[in-house]
Amino acid sequence: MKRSQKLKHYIFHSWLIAGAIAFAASLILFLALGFFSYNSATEIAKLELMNKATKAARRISAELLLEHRGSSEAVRLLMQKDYNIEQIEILSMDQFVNRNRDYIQVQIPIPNLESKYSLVASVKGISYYDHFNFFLLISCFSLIGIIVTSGLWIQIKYLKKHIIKPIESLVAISTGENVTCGSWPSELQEISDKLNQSFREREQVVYSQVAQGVIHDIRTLLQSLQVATDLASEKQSEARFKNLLSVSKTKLPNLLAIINTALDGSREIKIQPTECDLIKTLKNSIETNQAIMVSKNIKIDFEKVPQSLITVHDPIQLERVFTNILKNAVEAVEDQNSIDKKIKISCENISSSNVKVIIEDSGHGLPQKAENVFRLLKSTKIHGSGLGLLVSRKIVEAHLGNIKASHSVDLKGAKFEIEIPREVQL
Amino acid sequence: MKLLVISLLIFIFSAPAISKADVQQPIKVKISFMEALAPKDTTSSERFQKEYEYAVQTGKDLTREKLKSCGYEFIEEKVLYDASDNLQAFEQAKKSEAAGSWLIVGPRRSNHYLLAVKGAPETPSVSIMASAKEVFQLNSMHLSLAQSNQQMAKVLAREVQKKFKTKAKYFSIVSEDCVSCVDFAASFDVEAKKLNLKSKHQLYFSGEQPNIEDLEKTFLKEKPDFVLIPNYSMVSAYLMGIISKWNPKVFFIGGDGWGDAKYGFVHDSPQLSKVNGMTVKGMPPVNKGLEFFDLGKEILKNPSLASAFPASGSAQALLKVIQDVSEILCKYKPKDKKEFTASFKDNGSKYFKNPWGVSVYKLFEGEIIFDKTVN
Repeated sequence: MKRSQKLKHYIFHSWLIAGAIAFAASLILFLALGFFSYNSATEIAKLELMNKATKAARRISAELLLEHRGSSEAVRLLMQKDYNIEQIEILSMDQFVNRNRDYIQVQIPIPNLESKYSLVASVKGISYYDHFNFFLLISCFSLIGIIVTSGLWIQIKYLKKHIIKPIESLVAISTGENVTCGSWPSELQEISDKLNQSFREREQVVYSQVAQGVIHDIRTLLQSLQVATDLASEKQSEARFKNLLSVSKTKLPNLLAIINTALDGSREIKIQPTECDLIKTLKNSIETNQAIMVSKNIKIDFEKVPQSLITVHDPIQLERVFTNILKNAVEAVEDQNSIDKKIKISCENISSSNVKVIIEDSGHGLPQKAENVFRLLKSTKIHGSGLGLLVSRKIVEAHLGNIKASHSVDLKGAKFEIEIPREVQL
Repeated sequence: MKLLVISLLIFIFSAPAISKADVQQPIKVKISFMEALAPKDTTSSERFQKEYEYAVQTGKDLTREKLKSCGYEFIEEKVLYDASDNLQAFEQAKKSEAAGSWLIVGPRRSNHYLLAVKGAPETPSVSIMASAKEVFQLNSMHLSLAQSNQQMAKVLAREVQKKFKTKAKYFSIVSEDCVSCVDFAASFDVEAKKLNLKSKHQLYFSGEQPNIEDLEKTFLKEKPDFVLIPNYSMVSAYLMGIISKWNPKVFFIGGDGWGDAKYGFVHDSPQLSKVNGMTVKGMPPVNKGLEFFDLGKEILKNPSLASAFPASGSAQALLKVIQDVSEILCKYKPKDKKEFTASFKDNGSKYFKNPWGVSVYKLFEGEIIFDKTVN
């Protein structure tokens, strides 16, 4: 809201400035066009008058030479009428012209009688009001107004498209979101890359801090378990002992898994790729979740999944990725009331060098910006730490592949696409 | 001594040869043919120009041998200019005089001719058609082959009186820009008054046309029997086209400013193809007019030459002028312009005069048809 007000103020101020400039420009244009029009009209009137006066002077010369009109006054009146000139005067050489500022005047000698007479022709001068008129004023203001308004509108559109949107995107990049830069200028692309790199580094630092906290807590828990175990081995009844032991047996592997995940998130994952069956790796992860899927009545569909697909990968690490995604899918689906609880697994040879495994579910789906699920502390689950998918991303990236999250069109839930090369060349 | 004898021998033998060459070389007589062309009527102007040039060339061809035997040769200078700028007549004549022309065969229009005379007062000139009284008042160095307006107006008034008999009413519409037209109209009024023809309205205008609205009101009120329009072809035809709409039966009369049918006097206007009237000219059509002078008769003897000769009055007049000049040259043998001018001044009026009398032409349904010659 605050930002919106600032933008409005900025626009308002720019309009004020543009309006002032437009007003000044309109006035200048009005004056310039008015003067141009006035001067042109005056020059044209002078030329027309000169043309008429030249013809009239020749005829006057002829009439005076013929001497058949009676007097030069009769000739003067005749020429005024014939050439539609407001006033013609035939002056002898000793007479002077009375200049009148309200009139356009030309004086030319009468041909062949140059030593005796000259002709002065006058027409009423051009009026300022005819040229500096209201219509011209309105036209100038309208023209400049249209130009300035169009300019501002284009500027606002340009600002939004090329400045505000990229800034918003850069802000998103700085928080770890994946943003397509499109046709950004190279300067912005560089800033985007730097921000992305900066985020990854900060993510690593933050993760290390998180992992340290988690490990600390787990160690505390393990110490407590150690104490409980010690106590149970001394003076407790057999029943009590068995109960304490079973708790330890159940919880310890889970704790170990959490520790491993946390440690993997905090460091660079090393993979050991070997040539083996990707489908087998996938099936191993399904088997891990098989029991719970059966108990929750979740149906699993296979689509275009071949019997075998030999690739070079780390089967242990990739199994962790598949297991994690399937586990998330099971947890998303089990909460649904729908009878049709479904997970779909498909496999695509997208090229001779790459394969893609797609896992979709009919669960509650992903948040609006699905790509954010791979970011630290961005779990889709109520009690999730967000570490699982982060570690999955790291494992896939260690295979020089990529993992994408989106919304499933078929099942209306989440969709994860894991694309890896057939052969990892490290 | 030896050298002196040789020099004397060379002198004695070469002297007769030089003398012989001097005698054989004809004296070049420069004549300026000056005429105005109407730029707005280009078709008519172009045709006129061709006929004008043809007539001059024919005259030169027919007089060449005779002139050569007399020791002369014509040098022709054609000066054609825009009729709307009559001051050019003055300027061009001035130039021709300065360039040594012996004679200026001047423009047809009276005011143009009068200006040409002003521009070249020391050069003899002849107009082939100028008929204003001012032309006939000039000194004997400046002559016209035209009949005087007074004479033509007299004939016209008589012919009109014969047609209408009783006290017919008429209008006069006259362009003030045409000196001859004003003169003709004034002459006609004098003659008409003698014959009891009543002038009901005299409209003198300047420029291309009069105020038509005022004219219509007066015309419809006075209902004249005939209208005198002694202007040039373009203006006359335009006014006839308008006036005949007000009264298709009105009769038009004019002076020698009207062209003839072949000059396109009647334009494309369908209204003009219905007009009737009468006009007088200083000369008959070419087939009749050539009989009146020697060079014309010579052309008539040769059928192919006679059929090719331009059928216009000005062509006949040009031929007559060339004949008269060659006769003056051969009779008085002037050695230079000064002697020619003196001969012209003293004897020109005996030669350069109208041999044709006054010709009456009828305007019948838009066609100008020769009727008769009145002496």
